[in-house]
Formats: sequence, structure tokens, C-alpha cells
Amino acid sequence: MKATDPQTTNTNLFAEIELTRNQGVQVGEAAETIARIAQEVAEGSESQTRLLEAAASLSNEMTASMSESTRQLDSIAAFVEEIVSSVNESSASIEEVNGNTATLASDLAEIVTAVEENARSIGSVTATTHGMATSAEEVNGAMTEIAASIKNVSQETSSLTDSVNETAASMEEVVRATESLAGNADDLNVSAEQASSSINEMAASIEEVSVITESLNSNVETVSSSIEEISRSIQSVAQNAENISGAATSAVSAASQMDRSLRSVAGISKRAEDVTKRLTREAEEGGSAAQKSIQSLSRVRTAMELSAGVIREMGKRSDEIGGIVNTINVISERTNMLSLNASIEAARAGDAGRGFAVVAEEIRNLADRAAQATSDIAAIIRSLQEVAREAISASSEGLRVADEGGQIAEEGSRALQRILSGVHETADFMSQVARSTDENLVASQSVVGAIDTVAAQSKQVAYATVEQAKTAQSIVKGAGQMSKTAREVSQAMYEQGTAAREIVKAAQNTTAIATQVRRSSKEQAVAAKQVAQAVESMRRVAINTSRALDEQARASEQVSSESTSLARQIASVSKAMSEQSVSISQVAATTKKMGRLSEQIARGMSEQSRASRDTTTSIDSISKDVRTISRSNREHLDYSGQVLKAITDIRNVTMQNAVNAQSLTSGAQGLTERARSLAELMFSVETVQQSGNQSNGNAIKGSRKRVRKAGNSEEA
Amino acid sequence: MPQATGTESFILFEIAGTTYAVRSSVVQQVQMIEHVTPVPNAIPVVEGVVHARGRVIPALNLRVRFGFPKVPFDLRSRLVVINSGGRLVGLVVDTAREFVFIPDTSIEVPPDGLSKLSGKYLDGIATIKERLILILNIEQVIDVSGLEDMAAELPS
Amino acid sequence: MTTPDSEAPDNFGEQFLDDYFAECDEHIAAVRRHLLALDQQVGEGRIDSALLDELFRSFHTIKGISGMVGFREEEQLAHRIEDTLRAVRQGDVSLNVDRIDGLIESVALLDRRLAARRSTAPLPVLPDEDAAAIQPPDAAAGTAGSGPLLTFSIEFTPTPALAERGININSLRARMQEIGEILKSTPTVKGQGEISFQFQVRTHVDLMARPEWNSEGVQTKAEAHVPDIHRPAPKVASSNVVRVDLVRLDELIRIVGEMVTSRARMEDQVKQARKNLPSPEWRAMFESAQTMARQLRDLRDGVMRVRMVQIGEIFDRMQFVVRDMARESGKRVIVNVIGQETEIDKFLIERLMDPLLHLVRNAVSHGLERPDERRSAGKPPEGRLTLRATTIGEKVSIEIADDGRGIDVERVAERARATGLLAPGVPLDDARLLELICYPGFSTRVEADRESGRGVGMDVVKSTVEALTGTLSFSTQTDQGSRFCIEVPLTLAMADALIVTVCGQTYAVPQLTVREVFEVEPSAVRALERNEMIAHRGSALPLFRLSEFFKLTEPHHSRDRRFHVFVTGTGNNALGIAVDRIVGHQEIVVRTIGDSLVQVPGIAGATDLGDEKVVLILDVPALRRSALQERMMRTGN
Repeated sequence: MKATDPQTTNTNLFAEIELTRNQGVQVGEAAETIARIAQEVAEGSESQTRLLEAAASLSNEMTASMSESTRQLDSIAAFVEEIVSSVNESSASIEEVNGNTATLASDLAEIVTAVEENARSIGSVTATTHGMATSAEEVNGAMTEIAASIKNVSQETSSLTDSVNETAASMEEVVRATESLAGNADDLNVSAEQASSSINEMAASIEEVSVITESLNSNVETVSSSIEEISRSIQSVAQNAENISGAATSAVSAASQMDRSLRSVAGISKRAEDVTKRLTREAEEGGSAAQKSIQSLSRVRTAMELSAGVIREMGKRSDEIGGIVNTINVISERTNMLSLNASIEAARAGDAGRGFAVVAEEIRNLADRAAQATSDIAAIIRSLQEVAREAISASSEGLRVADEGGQIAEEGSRALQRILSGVHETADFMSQVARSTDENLVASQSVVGAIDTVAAQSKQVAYATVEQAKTAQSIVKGAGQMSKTAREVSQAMYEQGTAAREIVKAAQNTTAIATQVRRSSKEQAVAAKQVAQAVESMRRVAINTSRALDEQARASEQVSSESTSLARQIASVSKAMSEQSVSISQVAATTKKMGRLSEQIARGMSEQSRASRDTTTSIDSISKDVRTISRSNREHLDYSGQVLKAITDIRNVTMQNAVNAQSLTSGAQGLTERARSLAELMFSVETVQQSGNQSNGNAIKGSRKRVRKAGNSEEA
Repeated sequence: MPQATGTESFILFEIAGTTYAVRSSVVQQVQMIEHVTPVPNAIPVVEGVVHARGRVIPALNLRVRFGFPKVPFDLRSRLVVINSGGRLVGLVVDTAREFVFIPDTSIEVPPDGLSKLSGKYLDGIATIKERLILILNIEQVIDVSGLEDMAAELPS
Repeated sequence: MTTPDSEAPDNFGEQFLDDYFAECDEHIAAVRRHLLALDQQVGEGRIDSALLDELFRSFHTIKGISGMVGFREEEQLAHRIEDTLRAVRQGDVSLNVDRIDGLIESVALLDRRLAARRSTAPLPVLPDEDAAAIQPPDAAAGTAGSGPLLTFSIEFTPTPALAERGININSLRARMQEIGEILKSTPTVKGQGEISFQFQVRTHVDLMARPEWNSEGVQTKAEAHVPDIHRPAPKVASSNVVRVDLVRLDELIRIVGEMVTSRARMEDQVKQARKNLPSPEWRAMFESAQTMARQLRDLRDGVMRVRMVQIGEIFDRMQFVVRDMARESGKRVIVNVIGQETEIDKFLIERLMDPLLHLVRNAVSHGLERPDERRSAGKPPEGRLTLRATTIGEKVSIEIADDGRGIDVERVAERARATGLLAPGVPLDDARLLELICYPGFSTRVEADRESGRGVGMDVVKSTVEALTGTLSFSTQTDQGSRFCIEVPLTLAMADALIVTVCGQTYAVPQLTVREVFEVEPSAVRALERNEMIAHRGSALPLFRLSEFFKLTEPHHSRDRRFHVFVTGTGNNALGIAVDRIVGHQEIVVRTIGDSLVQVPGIAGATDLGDEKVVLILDVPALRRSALQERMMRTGN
């Protein structure tokens, strides 16, 4: 900018300003129209919001929306850049104002033309809408970025807004100065006021957003932590958690799978119930069989006792016989002796005793034979007694075994009782499981329903907002979790099924055992043990499953509560966003207005260019800093892609507002007028600028400081 | 009294597996050993006194007499009541259950080499169907005067 | 029992010989009695012809049976005596002291021959002078002792008319006895209440040939000759006698004794069955048992009495001895016999024979003074020897007392002190005196007397008496005389006994030897130089443990238990014999164990208590002797 005579410059400037004022008026009007359109767009956004409301019951996308905040920060940076550039332009234009106010006007005219051009075609409207959407996006991004849980960022954002405020204040002063320069300074003032108020509103809404996003952040934190908890709890339930891939469709399919599996579980548990019932029957049969075996064992025992008694009797008999044999032995000894004595006497009697001697000899032979026979009998008796003794010990052994058998049968019967009760427990448990399964079924069905709804809504929202997609994503996640849970349930159910199979097996075993009880005692114990183990594992699994289901319920509750709050938050965010968009649009308009003015002013004010350059440089640096921050913030944007998608959808929705595009034309016209008036303002602006530069420079210095600080904290 | 010329009847009894014979003419009777009353301070060979057909007679333990260890009495043990030289003495033997006729021709003079029984107690040795039977001189058997002298010399 | 001469009878005769000897003994005993009586009568101048008749009959019988058994010499001897007696009886010769002596000698000779025949001792030769001592009978006419023996039955019916004339049963009896022997006499009742007497008479005289035998109420018929081998024994002394083998008698007594024992056991069993039987049946059984007890006791006593003989027999023999000794030594002795009927076990009295004779000989030879000594001592010249036998309860007391000089106490004491048997200063009482004079080898007489070769001394007297479980006691007074008293049980076959146990063995102790019994606390036993004693009745009673003497041991025989003691002997001789327990007392049948194998000191015999187990009977005197020996050994005396 060339240095000219300030007076001349001012005079030129006034003319220019007047022109600008007129243009500004038109621009203003156009801006009004645009504002109206923006209003309507905002209304469209409200519908968006509602949709978001509807959709956001299950979302956790705010995290992602933080990325938008980052982007918005970028945008702010960009905006600031634009401010800077605008300021630059303003400075330049101030310089040029002196030189070429007309350029401003023509610029404005160009703007108007541009606007007109926009208004003529949908594309322009779209572009505007796009711009609005972008704005909205920007707003959203700003919001999300702010909500990205970097309080410092938001702090810096607020400090940034302070800076912006100050800039705005400076601008105000410029405006005032312009007003004071020109007769249409009031308009410019008003515009400035409006702009500032818009900025204020924006600031306020940004503040609000920041506050809201802060709470949102914490809520999200909570949600995320809750979700983390959920995911952890789900993980704890599932041994072999699979990662849940997810799109809503897969969630749905998963959900329907779950549904199917739950039904099959219900079916299995029903079957298990049947099996359990059969098992109970069989166990009862087994019990009665065990009872029979006990009875038969006691009969065996009685028989054994009888036989033992018989054997003892036999032993006694053989002892008696032994006694008799002993007596016979004694008799045969005595007979031998008597016959010997007889022979002696016969020998003494000589011939007379010969016949007697023969008789004595015969008697002796008989006695010897008898002795031999009795010794044989004695041997037999001894062996008989031995046999009897063995038999007695064997029968007492047998008695003992029968007793043992009886005891074991008793134990078996008791074990069967235990099995029976265990089976009953199992049956109860199975009923519980069935009930839980039913409940699960219902719950999961409701989940499925919810998922369905969510999915549907997500589909709706997905076109409107990224958040909807995100919600869907998180729903997916949640659904995935649920499907995981469901799978785990199904796993548990499977385990239950396994347990049920084991029950069946155990039942079979028990049946076999019941058969074995009849045969022997060992198998009973083994089988009973198996059944007990099966029952035990069943119980464990059931416990785990119910615990898992409890956790699932809790998690679901948490998710739902969090999602509710999230919805609320999103609502307010949306509201804020909408307000922001309003403000932003206003600001945009105003800014544009101001831009033009600035250009003109810049042309007129060359001396201010140096100050402006300083400002610019400061603002440059600020913007650099902001960019840095924004770049940092971009790191938070990893998860923002889909949000964008959601926003794209919103954009699509806003496209519906194309109807209102026409209105924009007229608005654009107004805008031209407004632009004209802006010129008027320029004059005053120039005056103000000079004084404002000073304060600007200070403010910018401060802003730079803050930005640096923000950047440092950003890096920290 | 001899049955006929050439044979005599004997009672056979056993001591420690060896078969001995006494002429049945010196045997009054054979009886079971029921109760023997020990006689204090009698020589070890005297088992005690017993009843025999109403009389109280000494019972000589032939095992001790012949130097064998004593064994407890059982159903087979016998008391052979000997009437010799006016004395009625009972002999305790393991068993006595045979009454045989031994022809004189089967009896041989005992060889000198037999220790303890050489000449003194044996009248002869008979072999009946490969069985060795020692025929005792009962008077010598029941003559324990030598032993009594020995006992008398022992301090009381 | 066979004789070595050629007249050895066969087996049948063997048995017969026993009867012969037994019968001879009887007759000789009777003869002795009668001769003694005759001896007295001769002194008094009155001879009982009945006595002569009795004598005659005895020798007649002896002659007969000696001939039966083929002892010719004895037959001849008896025949000669018979002739002498006949002659005396018929008045052909007078009976004087010499003749009686001769008769006595002959009897003694006969006795000796018979004794010799009984054993296998050489037969004393019949000296001819003995034959000559008996004066050959006059070949007096009248009834020759020869001729066949005829038997007549005479019936006499007494009537008052005949009795007036002095013809009564007694006069007839005398007549019959004169001519022969009355075999039987039976009173019969004839019709109308008349009583007549029937006699069977054996005589050489042919009564049928004598008319006086068939008149005056006397009717005589001839009977067939009855061989007189087994005729019943003539009436001698008192009652009909039956000869019984002593061994059989012993057996009988044994059996009865066993019956008594068995019955006692049965009674125990009946008492035990009380609880199993209804009261009436049991009572009946019990009473039967009691009755049986009574009957058995009577039976036993009766059987025991069969073994009894009157001690008079012994006394008779002793009188002969005295007579001989008196004659030899020139002393005059009057023998007083009191209690001849006193009965004593034959076995006992036979064992006592020698000791009694020894005492009698001592009394006559050492106790009684010669007549002149007596006169100067103021005593009648005839020494008096009193033989007295009395029954005191279950014992018999036999006393031999003389009124001679009595034992010379001083001499005995002197000798005793000299041989160390008596401690100086210790006074002698009768009991100690007896001990000393009964000490083996102690004799104040060096000279051998007629009986010294027999080996019977005072020690043997004492030991014999004690072996018979009797006691010997004695009293003497200088110049007054001595009295020896032997007490023995009535019989040895049975005795009351204490049943004691020592170390599980049971023994019987004859109650006669036991003075008292009491229980001892082991702590009360004192010992002095290994001799044990205990305070009893104020003095020290030496203790003799049977368990030690019999070398008995028992597993749990401990010296800490109370035990029982029975006391034997009196005063200084008392000894306490220690056993484990005195379990009761019982009547036992005494059996001797003859065999030398079991002749051990301290055992007297055997018995059984009813269960066929032999129980040994203690020889208490032998135990006392052993106790004394041991004590002396222990104290080094």
C-alpha cells in the first residue's frame, strides 16, 4: 500500500465508504436473506437434531465428534486465517481504499455477484448450504474438537475466542471508527454489533459448547469407561471372545443369530429339561433298583448268616463226631489191651486156653482194624473240621462282603438320592436356565429390537450425521458385545448343552451304574462321582452364565443410561451447533461483509498496513499457532471419519433444503446492498483502524501468547 | 508155660521205635496208664506207684531204664505188669499191642557189640519178617540194685 | 511151699497143706493152753479130766491129719503123745510135772518141726530121747487105740426117772466123750412134747457090742463110716472156727474198705444230685445211702474182726518162755495174765511177738531177782510178771510189768554220759530213760542170753512198735519193778488218716501219730542255723518241711503263704511236720507196697481215696528220725 495523504485518503475513503455502505446495505439485506435461509437451514438442522436425538440413544460418537472440533479448530484457524487474511485484506483494502474504494465496491459487487451466482443455481445454494453445512460441519467439528477431552484445547479455544473477541472488539472499534467516519457508520456499527453479537453468540455458544462438551466429555468419558467396563465384563464372561466386527447389518445378523441361537438354547435347555426329567426318572428307577439291590443284598446277607450258622452247626457236628471218634479210639485201644491180656491168660492156661487165644487174636485184629478205620475217620474229621473252619471264615468273609455290598448299595442308593437331588437341582437349574434363556430371549429380543430400531434409525441418521453412523457403530459395538455376550451365552448354553449332554451321559452312566449296582459296588461310586462332577460343572456354568447375563443387563443398562445422557448431550450440542451455525452464518455473512469493507479500507489505509502487517504477522503467527493446535487436534480425528459420514448425511438432509435455495438469491441481493453500506463503514473503519491497530497489536500479542501457550499445551 | 516145643509166646512192646519182647508167662496183665503216683526220693527210673488188680505196685519207666528221654503218656501208652521172682512190677512202655509166637529157631544170641544192653538185659534177638525184636531178660531189667546203690551214694 | 523130700505132694496137696498147717496151729495153741492149765492143776493136785480129753482129742486130730499129708514123723510124734495122754486119762499113768514138761517139750518139738516144714529150713530131727521122754504107754488093756473108727447115732430121751438115777444128758455126754468123739448133738422134739437128744459119735469101740449103750433111755444105731478128712474141726475153746487164708482175708478187707470209700463218694454225689431230683425221691436215695453206710461199716468191722485173734494165744506162748527161763535161772515166777480175750489183729500180734518176748525175757532175766534176793528185799520169793492186755478205744494196750529191781537209772545215766548220749547235769526222766535204753547198741548187759542170737534188742522193740504205728512207754522204780506198755491200733488194715497236700501231691498221715494240727503264718517261722522252728504252746517246736524232704517243687509254691503243720510226738520229742494244707481226714485202707523199688524213707504204704489214684501213706516215725538226723547234721552234732 502506497502512502498517501491521509486527508485525501480520507476523502476518497469517505466516498468509497459511502459506496461501500450502499453495497453493504445490500449485502446486509442479502445477508438477512441468507440469514433467513440459514434460519431455515437451521430448522432443517433441528430436524437433523431430532433425528440425531432419535438415533443417538445408543451412540458414543462424541468422541469422534471431537475430531470435528479439531477440524473446527482448523476451521477456526482457517477462519482466523481468513480473519487475518481479511484483516490483511482489510489492511490492504484500507490502503487500497485510499487508492481504490471502488475495488471494494467491485469486490463487494463481486461478492454479490458471487452470491447472485450462487443463488442462481442450486449449486451455489448447495455451495452455500455446503458452506453452511461446512459451517455446521465446522461447528460440529468445533464442538467435537472441543469435546475431544482436551480441556486445555477448549481452554485455548476459549482464550482463542477471547482473542477473537478482542479482535472482534477491535473490529468493533474499527467499525465504530468507520461509523464515525461515515454517515453510515451506524449501519456498519450495527453490522459490527451484529457481527460482534453474532461473534459473541458464537463465543457464548462456543463457550456453551465448551461447557457442554466438557460435561459431554466427562459423560463420554463415563460412557467410554462404562463401555470399557462393559467390554471388560463381557470379556470376563467370554473365554474365547471374538472380536465383534461390525456393521449394523452384521450386528443385526448377529443379533438375529443370537436370536436364533437363543431360541436354540431355549430349545436345548428345553431338551435338557426333558433329559433331566428323563434322568430324574431314570435316577429314581436307579434308586428303586438300588433299593432292590439293597434288599437283595440283605437277603444275601441273611442267607449267608444262615449258611454260616449251618456251617457252624456242621463244625459242631464234626466236633461231636470227633469226640465220638476219640471215644471209639479209646475203646479200640482198650479192646486191643483186653485181647492182649486174654491172650496172656490163654497162654498161661496152656492147651485149655488155645481156643480162647484164637478168639483173643481175632478180637485184637478187629480192634486194630477199628483203630485204623477210626484213624481214617479222624483224618476225615480233621479235614472236615478244617473245611468247616475255612467255610466259616469264608462265610464270615462272605457276610462281611455282603455287609460291605449292602453298605455300598446303601451308599449307592444314597448317591443315587444325591444324584436325584442333583438331577432335580439340575432340572431346577435347567428350568432356571430355560427361564433365563427365555428372559435372555426376551431381553435379547428386545435388544435385537432395539438394535433393529437403532439400526433403522442409524440408517436414517447415517445419511444425516456421522454421529448416527457412529451410534450405529457403537450400537454395532454394543450389539457386537451383545452378540459376543450372546455368543458367550450360546457358549454357555453350549456348555449347558454339553452339561446337558453330560447329564445325559451321566444319566446313561447312572443307568449303567444302576445296572452295575446290581452287579457290583465299585461302578456305582465311579458313576455317582461322574454325575456329581457333571452336576457341579453345570452349576458352575449356570452361575457364570447368570452372572454374565447380570453383567450384560447391567452393561446394557449402563449403555442405555449413558446413551440417554449422550443423546441429551448431543441434543444440546446440536442445539448449540444450530445456534452456532446461526451465528456462524451470521458471522460468515458479517465477516464477508467485513471482508469487503476491510479490503476497501485496506486500500485506503496504507499506513495502517504496517500496523496491519504487524497485526497480520501477529495474527499470522496466531494462525500458525492455531494451525499447529489444529494440527495437533487432527490427531484426535482418527475416529472422525465416520462422523463425517454422518455429517455427510446431514448434508444430504440439508440438501433437502435446496428448496430454500431460491431465497438465498434474494438474500444474496440484500447482501450486495449490505456490501455497499459496508463501504460507508469503511471510512469510519479507517479512522478507527488507526487507533485500533494499537490495541489490536496488543490484543494480538496477547493472543499470540495465548496461542503459543495453547500450542505448548497442545504439544504437552 | 511153653505152648509147644519150639515156640514160645511173647508180648511185644515198643520203646523209642525199637520192638522188645517178654515172655507172656511173666506178664500178669497189660493195662492202660491211668494215674501214677510219684514216690518222693525214689530213683529216677521209678515213675511211681500204680494200682494193678487191687494191689499197689511200682511202675518202672523203661525209657529211663534204657537211657531214652521221657515222653508224655498218651492213649497208646501201656503198663506191662510183670510177675517175676515174687515181685510184681509194672513197666511203662510206649505201647504194647502184639502177642506173637516166636519159634526158638528164630532167636539168636545177641552180638557182643551191643552197648548198654549187651548181655545184661537181652536174652536174644529175633528176626520176624525183617523185623528186629529184642527179647528181654526181665529179671535183669527189674533189678535196679545197682542203681539204688548209686542213688544211696547221692547226698540226700 | 513144696518140701524137698520124696513125699512131696502134688498140687492138690499143696492147698491141702495150708489147711493142715492152719489146723495144726489151732490145735497146738489149744494144747498149749490146756497144758498150762494142767500144769497149774498138777500143782494144785486136781486134774480136770475134761482137759485131758481135750488134749487127747487135739493130738488125735493132729496125728490124723499129719498122716493125711504124709508127715510120718509128726504123725508118730503125735501118736506118742496121744498114747501118753490116753494112758493118763485112763489112769494108767499119773500126770506129774515131769510128765507135763515132757508133753510141753514134745509139743514144742512138734511146733518146731511144723515151722520147719512151713519154711524150707532143715527139719529138726526127732530125737529118740524125746520119744523116750514120752513114756510109752502101758499096753493097758482096755481100749486099744486101734481099730477102725465107727460112727454111731445115739438117741437119748431124758426122763425124770433117769435123772433121779443120775442118768442125764451130761453123764451120757461124759460117757460118750470117754469112748470117742461126739460129732453132732441135736435136740429134737418128739411127739407129745418130749425132748430127746440125738448124738453122732465116732469111736473105735463097737458100741453095738456094749449093752449099756442101748439101755436106760439110750438108743444106739450104727452109721456108715464117715471119712474124717474134712470133718469139722473139734470144738476147741469157744466157738466153731473156720479157717481162712489170711491173704484172702486181707483181700476181703481191702474190698470192703474200698466199698466204704466208694459209698462215701456216692453219698457226696447223692448230696449233689439234691438239686436235680424231686425231694421225695432224693430223700429215699439219701436214706438208702445212709443205710448202706451203716451196713458197710458193720460189714467192715465184722470182716476186720475176722482178722482178730485173742491175745491169749500170745500170752500162752509167753508163759512157756517164762516157765523155761524161770526154771533155767532158778527163779520162781508167777505169771498173771489179764485180758486174754482181748482181741488184736493177727498180723499185728505176729509182728509184736518177738518184741513182746524180748520184753518178757528181759523182765525175767534182768528184772526179777532170785528168790533169795527177793526175800532179803522183803518181797515174796516168787517174782510176779503181769501180762495185761486191754482195749482202749481203737487201740490195744499190752503191758508187761514185773515187780523186780527196776532199771538201774544211775548205771544207765553213767553209761549214757560216757558215750556222750546224755549231757552232764541233765536229769533223766522215764521218757528219756526209755529213749536211751532203746538207743541202738546201748546195752548195759554184755553177756548174751539165750535169745541174743536173734538180733532183737530194745531198739528193735521200739522200731517195731513204731512201724506198727504204735507207741512204747515205760516206767520204772528201783526195787519196785518196771512196766513196759505197748499201744498199738486194733488193726493195721484200716486207719484214720489226715489227708494232706504238699506241692500238689496228696499224702495220708495216720491219725494215731498226730497229736494236733494248726495253721502257721510264714512270718512266724524262725530259723537257727538252717533249722526252722516256731513258737507253739509256749515252747519252740522244731519244724520239718515235707516239701524239702521229698524234694518237691511246684511252680507257684511260695514261702509267703500260710501253711499247715501237724505235730507228732510229745514234750521234747515233739516235731511239727509242715505241709501245704491239711485237706481233711478219712478212713483209709492200708496197703503195703512190698517192692524194694519203692521202699523209700518216709513212706509207709499206700492207699487210695476212692478214685483209683494211689495215695502214699507217710511213715511218721521215719520222718521223725530223718528230721532228727538232719537237725543233728545241721548243728554239727
